[in-house]
Amino acid sequence: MIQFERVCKTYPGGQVALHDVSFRIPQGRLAFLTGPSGSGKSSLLRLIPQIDRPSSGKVLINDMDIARVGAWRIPRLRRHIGVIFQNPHLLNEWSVFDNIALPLRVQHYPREEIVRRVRAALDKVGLFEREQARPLELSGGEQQRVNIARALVARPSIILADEPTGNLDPELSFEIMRLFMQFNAAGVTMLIATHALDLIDAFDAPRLLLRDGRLTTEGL
Amino acid sequence: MMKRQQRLQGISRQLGMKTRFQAWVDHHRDSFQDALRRLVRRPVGQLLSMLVIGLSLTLPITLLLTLHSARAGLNGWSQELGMVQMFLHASAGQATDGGEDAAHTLFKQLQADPRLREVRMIPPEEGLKQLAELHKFDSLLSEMKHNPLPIVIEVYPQRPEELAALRSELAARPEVASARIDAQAVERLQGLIVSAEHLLALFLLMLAPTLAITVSNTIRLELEHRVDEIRLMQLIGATPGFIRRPLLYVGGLLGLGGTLMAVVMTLFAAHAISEAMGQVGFALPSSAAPALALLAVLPLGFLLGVFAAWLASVVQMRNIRVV
Ligand SMILES: Nc1ncnc2c1ncn2[C@@H]1O[C@H](COP(=O)(O)OP(=O)(O)OP(=O)(O)O)[C@@H](O)[C@H]1O
Ligand SMILES: [Mg+2]
Repeated sequence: MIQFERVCKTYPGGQVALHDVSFRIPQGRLAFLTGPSGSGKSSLLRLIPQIDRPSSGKVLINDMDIARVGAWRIPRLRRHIGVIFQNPHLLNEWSVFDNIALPLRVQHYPREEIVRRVRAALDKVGLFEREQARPLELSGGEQQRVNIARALVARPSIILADEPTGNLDPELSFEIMRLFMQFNAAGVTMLIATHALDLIDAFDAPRLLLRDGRLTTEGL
Repeated sequence: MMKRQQRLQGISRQLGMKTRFQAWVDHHRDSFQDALRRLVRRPVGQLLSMLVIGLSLTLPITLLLTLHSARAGLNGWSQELGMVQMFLHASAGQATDGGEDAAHTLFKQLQADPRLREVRMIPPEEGLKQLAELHKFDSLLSEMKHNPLPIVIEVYPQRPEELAALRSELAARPEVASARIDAQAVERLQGLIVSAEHLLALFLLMLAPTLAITVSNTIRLELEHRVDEIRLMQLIGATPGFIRRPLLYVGGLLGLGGTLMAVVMTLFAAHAISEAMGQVGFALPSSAAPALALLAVLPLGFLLGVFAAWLASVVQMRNIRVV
């Protein structure tokens, strides 16, 4: 469950990125977040895992006001949220396997469980044979799939994606959207920011439309 | 979606204490290996850091060792050197009717005294000879018609702390013109050790910042090198402690390596010092204790390094924000 109540976000420089934004995505639903460049999509997503804090208003996750979460509990909160950026943020010195295993290591999963889950995630994104490769040996699309595998490996209850298909060809973009639909079908709450309107037209899901930091909700 | 929640909780319940502990141990091992890799990646820089730590530790440790053996030596010397020196009246050298002079009577009495370890009598002729040897004026000697020196008796007590009481007791005797404690050498050495101890305190004060700065600098470089990784870990939900752990091992290993270098350098320095002291006639007792004490310094160096790294990473990680 993701809920915004009258959220405003003004950056220290004075740029207003979000203005009085309210919406609610129930547990297990998928929504797209669209809008022109600079309309505030990334700013909105960044508030959810506490990368940034709202200037005013409330952000709730699973009915919990995250402003009230103590600093020491923020890491735990983030473990419930998988984040996929356009830039995959992979660690190039590490193997694909180790990149994907990171969220599990952070949560002190036992070794055998890590191996089992990483392999399952690799299988899901179709990279089963590349577990020992380094990220730089992979194509852009493959890197993005590693990014996705890392976001889902710890089975978060929420997945956020910011332009996940920005660098990918239409065919691969479509594949990745289908993957997201599968996670959603398995019960993960998803919020996907994208410009690619023609791509999301193929999927039946509610849309949050941002324009100059103001929200127009459709179908939620 | 309660199902997924329950499943999540189910998993964490499934992970019993034992597997959690095992995973925690695993992470320590991973962090340690990671720290080793970090050290190996910049071997020259890290060796230099260790050298700086090592050098800053060598001085105080060497001093500590020297003081340790000097103090052991001093106990011996003070027993040997701490004495009451009595100058007898000239009349004490003249034989009485009984045949023996007062000086010899006193000498025998003192020899029988259980409080005394050693009693020496130096007749005037011998005193003159010693003086002559010491100051090399043989010619003067032969020209002297009359020996001006008194009979001297030196007594060495069993226990150096009885010197003062002994002196006043002996000074009260009729045969004795004057009695004085001769412990100059001991006092001078004691003064030396005290000032050396002050110096040591100063070095130890200087050491703490050196170690902190060296380790902190290394941690800063590591953090710069790994900013992306740290931001990512924060995003993924790693606790600050988890992120810091490899850095703490880096600090610990630096401290350990520096201390090890210090120990090696100290052994060389201590050897050189005792050799030099030996040449000027002060044999420092060597014992196994300092070598063992040096080993105790190793874990201390490790812990100091860990602490410095912890401090540095707490301060410096505040500037790193998620992704
Ligand atoms: N860190 C920041 N500091 C100051 N202003 C910012 C910052 N990040 C974003 N902005 C501003 O906030 C507004 C919204 O930016 P945001 O990145 O959220 O847009 P977006 O919808 O994600 O755009 P795009 O589709 O190009 O990614 C813009 O005017 C941008 O200049
Ligand atoms: Mg954006």
